[in-house]
Amino acid sequence: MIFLSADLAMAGRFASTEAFATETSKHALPFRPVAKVGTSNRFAAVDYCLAVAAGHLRGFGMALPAVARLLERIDRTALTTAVSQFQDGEVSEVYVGMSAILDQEDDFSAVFTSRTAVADALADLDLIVISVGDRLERRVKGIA
Amino acid sequence: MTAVSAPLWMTRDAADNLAAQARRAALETLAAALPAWPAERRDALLRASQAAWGVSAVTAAGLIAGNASAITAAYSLKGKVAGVLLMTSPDAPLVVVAVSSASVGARLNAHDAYWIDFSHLEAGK
Repeated sequence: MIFLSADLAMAGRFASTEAFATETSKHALPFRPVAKVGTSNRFAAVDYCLAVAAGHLRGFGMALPAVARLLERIDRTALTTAVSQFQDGEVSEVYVGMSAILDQEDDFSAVFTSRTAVADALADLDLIVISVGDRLERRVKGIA
Repeated sequence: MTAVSAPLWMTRDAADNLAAQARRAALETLAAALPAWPAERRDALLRASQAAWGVSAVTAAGLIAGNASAITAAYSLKGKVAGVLLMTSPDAPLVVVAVSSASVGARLNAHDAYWIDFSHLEAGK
């Protein structure tokens, strides 16, 4: 499923599609359109999931520069693969769990595909955990 | 740094392996569905469809394979039509529509209509 800027703006709690475009450019948020039709950008599901994560982080009161730094810690390749598995029904959950101390240089992708794995990781790590799979599923079904 | 014995998260290696497995499975599906097409064109079709539709390789291959004969028939008219649109319908799984304009096809591409632009397959003649 493809997503429009308006979908990402709503998921990311931006005031408008224009604000989404402006803030994405200003803070180098990691949203990458896969296509452009006329003047309208089209995004993949992985970008929608990143927008959901951004929306949650903003809900915690984080400023966009901090949100941008945390989103950069998420391995896009791993999240893309996890979302593909989710779409194919091979996994039923997708979480991003951002750590204050681990990043991609530590081979920490911040992507989890089971609640058990998240719980086990939380035994050793402090993480900000956001479920992106269920929100994606609800959006695909047209109820979010 | 906090030590965790084994990665509980999806590592980059695991992600790469899973993506490669899914892509292989998808290409095998396409090879069975479009046996007369060269492998390069099937590969281009899969890449273009995934990018346009925002779906996984396996899902894209399934959609294509289910409509392979109609896609092949439309591709034989390449030059006269710009591509095909696979549209969901309440009465049938998908309705295949040949579209003469690539810009119209791209605009109609949505979560309930899947556009295949034949110009993206030219690398795989």
